[in-house]
Amino acid sequence: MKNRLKVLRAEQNWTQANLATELEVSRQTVNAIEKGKFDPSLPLAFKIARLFGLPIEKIFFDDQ
Amino acid sequence: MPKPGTYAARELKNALWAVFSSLAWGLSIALSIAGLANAQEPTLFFVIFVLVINFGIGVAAVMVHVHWLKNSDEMIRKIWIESMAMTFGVLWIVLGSLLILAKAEIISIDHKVVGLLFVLSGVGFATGGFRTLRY
Repeated sequence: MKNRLKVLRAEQNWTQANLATELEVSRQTVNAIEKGKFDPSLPLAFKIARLFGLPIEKIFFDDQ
Repeated sequence: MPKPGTYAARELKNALWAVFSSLAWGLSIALSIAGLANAQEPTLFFVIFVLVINFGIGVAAVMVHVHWLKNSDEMIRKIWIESMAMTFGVLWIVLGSLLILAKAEIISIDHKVVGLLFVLSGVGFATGGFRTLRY
């Protein structure tokens, strides 16, 4: 699954560590999600969406 | 050092507790076996005492690990659970092989071999978990 997390984070001038603190996850998890190596659970995806004030489908995209 | 009260600080504290409890458990087992080996004639009371200590520290270590995993984030938890599964599998394969070799009287299994299995499982678990550092 692809996502725009890196772009959205950059728009806020946040580091991965800042975003990780906001989401209460590790920096490694933020990095893995940004690189598309780890797909977040629905609760975490909703948390990310709430944080950026966007619907989930504006952040995460299906590969196919 | 992570800021107090953040996820990173809690994760570090829980991980350190898990490492220290594992070391304490391993040390208690090593000291217990050394104590039994050095005792001229270990009394039943001493053996029960050693078993109770091992059980107590072991249960505490398991609870510390469960607490750590429950409070880890979903990716970290997934990696460590996969690492545990791999360790468990490797341990069974090695143990099965050792039992076959022992039955065929090619090797003999004593407490040192069993002790090595503990070390193997610890190293396997830690190695698997180091995948978290890749990110």
